[in-house]
Amino acid sequence: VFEDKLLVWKVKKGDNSALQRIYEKYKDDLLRIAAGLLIETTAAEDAVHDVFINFIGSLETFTLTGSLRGYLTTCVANRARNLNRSRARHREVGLDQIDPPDSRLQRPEQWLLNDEAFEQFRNAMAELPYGEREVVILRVQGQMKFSTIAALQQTSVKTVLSRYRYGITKLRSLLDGEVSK
Amino acid sequence: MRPTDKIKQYIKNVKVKTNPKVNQAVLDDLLNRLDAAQGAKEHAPQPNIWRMIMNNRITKLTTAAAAVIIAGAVIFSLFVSPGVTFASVIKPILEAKTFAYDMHVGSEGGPVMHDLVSENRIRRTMSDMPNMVLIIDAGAGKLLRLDTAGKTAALINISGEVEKGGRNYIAFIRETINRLTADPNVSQKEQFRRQIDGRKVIGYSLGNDLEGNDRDRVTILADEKTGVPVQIDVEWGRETFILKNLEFDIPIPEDQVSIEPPAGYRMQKANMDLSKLSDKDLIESLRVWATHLRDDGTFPPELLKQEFIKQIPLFREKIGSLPIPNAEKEKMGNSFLQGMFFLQTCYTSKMDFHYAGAGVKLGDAGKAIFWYRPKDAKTYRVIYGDLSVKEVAPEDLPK
Repeated sequence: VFEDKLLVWKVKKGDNSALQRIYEKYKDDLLRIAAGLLIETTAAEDAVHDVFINFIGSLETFTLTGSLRGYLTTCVANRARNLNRSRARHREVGLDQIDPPDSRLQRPEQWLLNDEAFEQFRNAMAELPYGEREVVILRVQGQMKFSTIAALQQTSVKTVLSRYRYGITKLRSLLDGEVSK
Repeated sequence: MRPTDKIKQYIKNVKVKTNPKVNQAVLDDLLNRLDAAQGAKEHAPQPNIWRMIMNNRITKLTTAAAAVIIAGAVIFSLFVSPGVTFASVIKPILEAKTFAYDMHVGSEGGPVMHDLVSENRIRRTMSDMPNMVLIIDAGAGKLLRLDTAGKTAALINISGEVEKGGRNYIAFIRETINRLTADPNVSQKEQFRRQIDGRKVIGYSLGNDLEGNDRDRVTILADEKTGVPVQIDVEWGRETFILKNLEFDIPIPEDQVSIEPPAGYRMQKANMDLSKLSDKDLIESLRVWATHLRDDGTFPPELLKQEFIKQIPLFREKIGSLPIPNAEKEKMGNSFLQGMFFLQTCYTSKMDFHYAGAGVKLGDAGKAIFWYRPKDAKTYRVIYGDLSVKEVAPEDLPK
């Protein structure tokens, strides 16, 4: 945490190497969380890039009260949730709108590279309702407390715990063969 | 280990792999932003270079790394000219009475349509049909087709649904801008700077980020100093077009946009009536396409208005060389275009439609190639590979 506070302080002073350090330190985790939440890799790439941009844009007034990791994860989660709501308002997301799950096709210079294990993970996450998916991802990958997730989802901790249980149970049946390897 | 713990472990251990070149491109962009934020806090926010490069979609990453490097060289100013705003840029688009523009169908490099527009009348010429002039009077619901080589003219009825698609593109862009700016769900206007054709421009992009038929996005590039639009890119559903060489409030002589045939032209009977289009027109169009324009007898990979327009030179070459009477050739040409107009009405009427003919051979009765739901209908009309049509309930549509 101290290192992050120092990095933020340096970035606020315009230190490029500090921003580079933050970027290198968190980009993979944020991309993994965004891809788990949004399934579609292009949307995930956009979301993470936007979060870093907004972080830079808000530096003048930004004060780090908790962990930087938690702050950036929350930003990604909020962005993903907004995007998901916007999608839902327009229409249901059909299978034709997400990246082909078993496709080896890869855009020439995409940020997130397709990888069998990662695709399997995304495919499994895609089977969960968004609320459950968000709880599982933020808890396991984002290392967030259930109470924090409840506040993000504007629901009770009990509901979050229940979403977590349902989500993990579904993933167990979906990934049974994979985790026993 | 308990199965639940194994699942958690699995999720925790999932690794992502990223492209080092793109990693660097994103980092460079962020560092540029940090520099700009430090050095120019009092100025307007820096454009989202990443989105600019990607034309707002990260799916267009193909040239990302190279483009970032180029962007570094062409981004000349972070600051907006004091008088140039989104409102000032769209003002001539919304208010001008006359316009001229070149419309590139699909993308640059294809056929170019040149329009002279005086309110609801258009004089249209096309780069690949030098002898043809179309004069569209949307108010009268008429289209005058002139053959400048043969000095013949034909007046075609375009009243009804197709008339909506016959409007000038600026009118269409006006509607789109008004619709998008009023829609709280569309993404915010994004501002960026770019250099095109040696000219410094400021750009605004607004639209939704949906894909397929629901996509709606307008990007306006305006001269950085004057704020006058120089290029407008439109993504409308799956169709895309680009307007360039824009001119506003130019003098247009009345006879240039009149549907009265010029002196010396002989009127011909029009064999086309665009006021009563149906899926029969599309069927005939698809028959011509698969029979004469495709070497393997399959239907086209994509069914877009822009694809129809791109096929016109090939159509002229292939159909022109057939040993059949000219009247028959003209009939085929009309059928082909009427299919395009029917497709256009699917868009303008906001019908739910889908094309699945890629790779399907003409005659394959087992494969549905196009289906749509006519306005207010409960069932879909499904066209099959043998060009037969059936009414199908929504739940029975091809998956």
